[in-house]
Amino acid sequence: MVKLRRILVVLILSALAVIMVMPIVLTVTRSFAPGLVGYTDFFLWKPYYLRLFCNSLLIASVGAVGNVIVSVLAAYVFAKVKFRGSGVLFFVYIVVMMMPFQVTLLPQYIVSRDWGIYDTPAALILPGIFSAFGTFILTQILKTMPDDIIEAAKLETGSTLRLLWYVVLPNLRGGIVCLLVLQFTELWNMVAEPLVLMETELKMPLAAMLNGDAPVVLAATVVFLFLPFLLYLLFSDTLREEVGSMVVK
Amino acid sequence: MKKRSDLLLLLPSLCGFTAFYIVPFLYSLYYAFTENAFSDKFVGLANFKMLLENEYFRLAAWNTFRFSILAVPVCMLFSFTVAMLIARFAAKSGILRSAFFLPIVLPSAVIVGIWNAYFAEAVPFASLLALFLWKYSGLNITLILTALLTIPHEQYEAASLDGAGAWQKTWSVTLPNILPSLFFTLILTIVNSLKIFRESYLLYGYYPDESVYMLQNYLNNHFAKLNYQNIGAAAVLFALVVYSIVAVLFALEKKWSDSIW
Repeated sequence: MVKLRRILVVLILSALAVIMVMPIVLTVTRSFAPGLVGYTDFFLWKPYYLRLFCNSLLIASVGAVGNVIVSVLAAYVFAKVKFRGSGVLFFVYIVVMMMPFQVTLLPQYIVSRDWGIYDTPAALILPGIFSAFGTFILTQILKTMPDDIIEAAKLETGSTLRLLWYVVLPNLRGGIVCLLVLQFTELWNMVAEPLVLMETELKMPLAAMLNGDAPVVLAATVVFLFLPFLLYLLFSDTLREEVGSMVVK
Repeated sequence: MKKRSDLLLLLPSLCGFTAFYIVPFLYSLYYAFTENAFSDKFVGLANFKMLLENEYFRLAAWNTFRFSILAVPVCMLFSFTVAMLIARFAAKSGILRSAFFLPIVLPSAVIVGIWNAYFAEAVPFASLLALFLWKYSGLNITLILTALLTIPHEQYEAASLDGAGAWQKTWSVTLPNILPSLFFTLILTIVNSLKIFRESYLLYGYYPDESVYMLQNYLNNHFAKLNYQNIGAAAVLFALVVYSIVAVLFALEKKWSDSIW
């Protein structure tokens, strides 16, 4: 009886899993429907999309790595250094993190003009590097790390930077991987931001330009999809095993 | 002395955060209370009055509210149920867990392409809800599941000895243990529900069906018209709402965890 129930539940879960993966399978099969035309176009005859792909690569990787570095430092301060106003400041980070891009779209456009980064990759990379999401997620994780480990290590290492490198970073591995993958995907996926902060088509990231049903677009979509997928495969064990465990109290 | 040098580590984040997020918001604040793009006369709440009288703004605000108030609980409940089922019956299946995590790393453009090809006729509001569930439940499931798997077995055994049934165990052992994770997941889900505009835009463009005309559409379209005052007032209102939500959530979390521990 119990066994029967288990089989039933696993069947339902598997059906759900298939639904989850189905769009990916469909995208891939659709791209091969006209043969390999789409792919030869993408890689050889229509370099336009390959160019956009490289733009995405630059924006997402620099933005994600930068975000991890900035966030680790900030998260350490928020989680482990007590100072006046820390609670209020962290609260401001969270509120800002929760506001969608459209809310401050116009002033962001103005700011990027003022600083001469409008219509350059920096207009997308810099907000990505300083996004509050990374600080939020890493702070939550770091808070669960026992204070006495930090205190003990402090006495031994002497400098905070060394403490970060030898004690905090190894313990934060799962969180960093998670942030790296999520932030990369987030930047890889941006649509609204480039449409506002850029105007030269050739400088746009690929996500903003994937419209239509042309074979080359379908092929570009598959190539586009492949990179975050690869990132996931690379880190899947860490992601599955470690990510949530550190948010647990 | 030591402490002060530690605070320096916050500096890069703080500078960039101020430059790219706080300063733009201050601009909005300024627009919200001034007369128009050419005159910086203080006009009190006039812009807010104008905004609230605008029927498209009201429609957009209502739609955004309606979407989040449905999408967030449904997504949380679905994720929680699936995570419980996996934890109980298939905790060791890596394939199953990967399958649920995958959509979050996949580009929105992909799913939108599929949706257009096969479900173009579907009701817009329901489509966005389905897309939201598809895309974001995986991250929630992963977070909740990992929390579930770290609950010590002894606690369940102790509860069994006390004669607790399945529901009672969920209530008195499972929930208290995963509360911090649930809270974290809830905040992420709210953030993500406000990001649904990406899918909405890819599916329906700037002028979608009335039922999915969201605040983000409203702001986008007024951006095109360079209506500074309108956008500024809307941004300030939006921030106030988000602020209240976060404040309430924090208070609730504090209350619950205090009452449990």
